[in-house]
Amino acid sequence: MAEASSDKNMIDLTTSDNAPIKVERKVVERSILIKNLLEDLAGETTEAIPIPNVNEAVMKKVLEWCDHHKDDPPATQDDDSDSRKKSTDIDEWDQKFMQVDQEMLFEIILAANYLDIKALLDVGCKTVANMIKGKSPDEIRKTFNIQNDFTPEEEEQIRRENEWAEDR
Amino acid sequence: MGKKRGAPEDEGKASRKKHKVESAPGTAAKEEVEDKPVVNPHQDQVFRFMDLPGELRNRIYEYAAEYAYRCFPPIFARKKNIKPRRAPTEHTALRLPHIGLTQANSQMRSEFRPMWLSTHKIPLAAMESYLKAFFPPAKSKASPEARERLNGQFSTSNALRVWIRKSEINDVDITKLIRHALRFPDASITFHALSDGEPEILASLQDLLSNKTDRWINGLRGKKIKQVRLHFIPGRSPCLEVQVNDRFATKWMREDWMNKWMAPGTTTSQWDRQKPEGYDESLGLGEVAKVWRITFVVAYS
Repeated sequence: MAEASSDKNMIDLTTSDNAPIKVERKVVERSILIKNLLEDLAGETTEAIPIPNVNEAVMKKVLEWCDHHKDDPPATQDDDSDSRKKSTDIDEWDQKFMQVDQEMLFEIILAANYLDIKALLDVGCKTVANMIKGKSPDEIRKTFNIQNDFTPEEEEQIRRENEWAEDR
Repeated sequence: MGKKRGAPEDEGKASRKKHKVESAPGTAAKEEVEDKPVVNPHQDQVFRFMDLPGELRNRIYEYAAEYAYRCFPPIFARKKNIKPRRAPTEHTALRLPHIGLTQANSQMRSEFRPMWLSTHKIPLAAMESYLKAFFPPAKSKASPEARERLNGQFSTSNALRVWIRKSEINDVDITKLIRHALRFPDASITFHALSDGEPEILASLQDLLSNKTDRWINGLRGKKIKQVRLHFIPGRSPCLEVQVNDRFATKWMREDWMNKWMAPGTTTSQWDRQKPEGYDESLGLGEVAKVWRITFVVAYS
């Protein structure tokens, strides 16, 4: 494992593809997983922290978000429940940040979940929810690469629902 | 909103497996688009939604459901026997927010539809057709497997908002809604109206739906009661009409019914005089009777 920095304000990470990353403590502490780990270690280790589930490209992207939001107030349980009620509320910077390819979006969501960065996870999930807003079933199948596997009974049920809507 | 089912949350890590694409029939209604979606230059690519762990899919479903709840469009009952002048088009058809997510794939439908149904706000006058269209009948000819699959696509503890517009309830059959509440006792059915709606009307309808008096329930289940209708005519007392099947009707019900037909110009207060004292209360309708004049009529088959 790589030797860690002697500067206590800088933290060394090693990603799943063995890339070393040096990052400001305040930035990386947006991850509750890493924050708790650093508190538990209390400066007792000089080794880099391994991040086995996140590769370098994704980690850099996640840290870019953490850097922009490093001065945000820490998340609380209440914030979490409130933010869920505003599904389309994504600030402009975050919207631009999320203009990545779909695979990167997928990986950011998984990384945010693993690293326990609730605000980033919310932005990722909101982005997906917004992405499918207004899409027809066929468009959703294409976006998510899924099959139409409905039984005849389900097709019949769907037909009834659409007829009701068309009849309004 | 009511209890949500969603995706199983104990799924393992995201799999890297990809699915095949299949084009599908595009018969479904399109959704309402109120907010502009975020423009993503990579939107044409595939997002591996089904490879996300169940708990993350649920989080996305919750955002979609919150949007559907907030942006549920106003629905108006269409008068019977009046057909629209032209067939609905993509622009005129009712667009239920996120309906596409319930009609794309069976697993997604099972995961999202129960919470999506809880976002609905349906006017009382359109309720009968709505329940028929969105909830499969308790008894059907489908195979046990098909029934199980369909039953997995709604929750028995669903929430449902019933929208009351006085102008739409001058004569409305609410039997199906009452039977729905009996079929799903854990469902949360609530009545809503604009600020000009009378709170006592809403509260009395809530009382009617919550009536668990044995005699009332047995009457509905045993088919003694054929229909329950609301009549809300401006200038008159609101009337709740209970239609009793001919073979279960009592003598006084027949006499009252006869009086009505013999003197068509009379008001209800003149022809429902035979009803025994305390009869409404014996059916658990005491509170309802404070707001609605309850009349019992014979439904001759």
